[in-house]
This record gives sequence, C-alpha cells and structure tokens, in this order.
Amino acid sequence: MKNKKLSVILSAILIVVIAGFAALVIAKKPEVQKGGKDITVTVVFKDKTEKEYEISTDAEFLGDALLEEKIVTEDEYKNGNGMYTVIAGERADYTLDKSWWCLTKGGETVNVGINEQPISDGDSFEITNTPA
Amino acid sequence: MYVSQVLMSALTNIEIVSLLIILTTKKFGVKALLSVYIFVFCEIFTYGLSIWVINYLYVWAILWLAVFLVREIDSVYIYCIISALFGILFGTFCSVPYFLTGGLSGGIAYIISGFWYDMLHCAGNLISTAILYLPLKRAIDKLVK
Repeated sequence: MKNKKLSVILSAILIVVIAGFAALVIAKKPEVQKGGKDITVTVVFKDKTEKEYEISTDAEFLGDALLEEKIVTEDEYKNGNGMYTVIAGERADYTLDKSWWCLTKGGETVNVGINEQPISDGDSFEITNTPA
Repeated sequence: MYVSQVLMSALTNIEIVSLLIILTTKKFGVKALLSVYIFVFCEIFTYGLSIWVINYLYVWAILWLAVFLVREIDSVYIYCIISALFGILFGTFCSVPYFLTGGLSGGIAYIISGFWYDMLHCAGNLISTAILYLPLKRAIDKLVK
C-alpha cells in the first residue's frame, strides 16, 4: 500500500516535471522574423581580439546568415547539430583545444544554438572563444 | 561505474551509472558513497578539471540520497521512476554553477538548452533500469551475501 502510494506520487512528480520543462521550452522559444535584416556579429578570438561583421541578410536563423558571410564552413553547417568548432577561421574544438564557441545576444546568454537562433533587424550577437 | 561510463561515452546521456548507484546504495547503504566518489575522482582524473567537476561533486550524491531514503523498498517501478526523475533533472542539478556565474538568465538558458539531452537521459535511465535492475540485483545478491 505504501509502495503504491509512493509510486503514484513519484509518477505524478515525473509527469509534472516533464510538462513543466516542455512548457518552459515552448515559452522561451524565440520568434522568427521574416524579411531583410541588418545584424552585427562580433567574433572574440582566443587572444581576445575582436572582429565585427555587419551583416545584411534575409536569413531567419543566425547559422544561415553566418554561412552566407562564410564565417562558418559549409561542412559544419550541413552536419546539422549546430555545434561549430571553426568560426571565422579559428578552431575551438572542446576535445582538442579545451575551448568552445559561446553564443550570446547583446551580452546575454541564449537558449539555443547558432542554427536555431532566430535573428531580427538590429540584433547584435557575440561569438566568443571560451576556455572550458 | 567508471568502466561503464567510458564504454558508453559515445552514447550521449545514455548511462548505467545511475542504475549502479541505485543497486549499490540498496545493497551497501552509506558505504555506497565511497564507490560514488571513487567514480567521480576517476572521471576527474580521466577528463581533467573543468566546471563540470563542481557538478559531479554533488550531483551523483543526490541520487544516492534519494535511493538511500527508500532503500528498504523493493520495487522495480519505484527505482525506474527515481532513475528517470534523476535523468530529467540532471541538467537542472548541474545548472547551479551557471546560475552563480551567469545569473538567472544564464542558469535558465543552460537548463533549456539541455532539455532534449535531459529527456534522452530520462528515457535512457527509465529503460536501462526497467531491463537491468532485476538481473543485476540478483547478481549482486549472489555475489555479496
């Protein structure tokens, strides 16, 4: 009887947690803007130098815009998982370099990867070579 | 625990470490913490120091504690649910350093960005516990009387 009660409680907690997470992910999903946009992408390299890209694009997602400007390679874009090791010619591969490319928008952490990040006119992104 | 993690490291967020912690905690109680931390230090020795080390110092102990509190219960279903809950909350448990360094938005972003990995972890834990709990428990009971 006690086991049954605990089973029901734990099952309910699991369902609530899954539903809660799903609701949070849906609520925080960024909106897509169609049409021409001007955005700024600042790449911060390992040596802390920066390069700013002013991009005019019709792309809906940041990955597409970066590919247009050849900031990311087509191979990594096509592998589809949104994990880039080479940005603007510099590698930050976690397994080899113990560093990774961190995407922020206006200095704030974002919830999605480069390929899933929608872009709007006037957006400013930073992609920073970050040590692990 | 360590060997299983290394062998399964290619499978993202699929592991039987959780199941092994459940079984050893049921069998050995407080002494199981020793095996948990031997696992943690083997991981640190293998993969080096980074922010994840902070997570590992407490996250597996959370599972140990949850199982320790109900270790008298012998129900596969309950341990499946505990394992699944641990899997889906793993990212949340690990987000503490990100709340401290990145604030509320940083922590929430970390949790949301790992949601699908946590779902995979949840499903993996549920299935592995459902399939392997009884056979491994019998094996442990035979080996350690």
